[in-house]
Amino acid sequence: MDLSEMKKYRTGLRQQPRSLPQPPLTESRSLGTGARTTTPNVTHPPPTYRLGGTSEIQLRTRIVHGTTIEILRTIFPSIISMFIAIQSFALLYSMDEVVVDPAITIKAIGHQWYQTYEYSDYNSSDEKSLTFDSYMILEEDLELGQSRLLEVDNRVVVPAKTHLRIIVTSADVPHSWAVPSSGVKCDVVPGRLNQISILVQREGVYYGQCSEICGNNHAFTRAPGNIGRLLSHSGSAAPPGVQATREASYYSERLEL
Amino acid sequence: MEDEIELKTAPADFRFPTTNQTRHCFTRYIEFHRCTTAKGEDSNECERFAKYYRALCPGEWVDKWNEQRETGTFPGPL
Repeated sequence: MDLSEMKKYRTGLRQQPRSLPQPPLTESRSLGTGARTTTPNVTHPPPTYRLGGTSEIQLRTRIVHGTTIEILRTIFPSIISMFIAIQSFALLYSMDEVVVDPAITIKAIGHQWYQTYEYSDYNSSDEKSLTFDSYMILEEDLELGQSRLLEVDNRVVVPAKTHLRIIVTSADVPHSWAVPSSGVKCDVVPGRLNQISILVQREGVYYGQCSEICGNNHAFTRAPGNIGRLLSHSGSAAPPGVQATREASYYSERLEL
Repeated sequence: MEDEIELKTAPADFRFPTTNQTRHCFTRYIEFHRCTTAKGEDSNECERFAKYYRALCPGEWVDKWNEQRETGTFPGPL
């Protein structure tokens, strides 16, 4: 490539445009730094500016672009991303699928600003067999030892170590049913039934709060206070029929008030 | 006193594998009523479908659909 071709690829200020005033007609002597000393009455042609700003140095500049390789280096990472994404989406959607038949279905219906729970597995007709509302206990009504803003008047009692299906829906506005200690959060939309599958590993009380802004008292809507109660005596591996403990039957009596 | 309690509920339906079970509840309700239409009101075979839709569907929805059926405005293919 000769000089004339190289000039096509030059960047930076080209030759000094003719509209600008000419620099003073002085001698230019290089000091190595690009500074100029001046001597009167000496004429020199106007300097040509090249990349770097020094007229003495001719820098080779060449812009290279390869269309093929640019296309390849765009498509190839996209293919890699696609392979990763397909696996991830398959896993993500399979996490929601129910693999094991649940043993019990509990419906949680969100209202402003309380929850209604229905246990309808043993209905003999369309009337509701076990339905109750669950309101948060206000601070002034708390007993000693109870947690502020977490306790509810009627807790949801569920069997521990049992596959549960919780169907959540709403009667008015969107809510979200969340029990962080059980690893559960599910948005609740009016007109839609969302299913949550859980297995409560341990007996205990699990608190939850509404996780979708639902109005004035959103901060005071409680998801459960679940109690996982063992409904079978431990020691047997997955018995088909379970035995009720006295605690469970006591609790179910309380709920039927 | 020991009591045998067998826990049974609507099984997981492979037709509705995802989180949204609205269609599952609706389908079970329709299946029950189509079963009773085909086999008669007192058939034991249809009771199974009744248990399923009662387990899945909220009571308000069932009441509303029952009213719609009575007035003839139910939107499903009964």
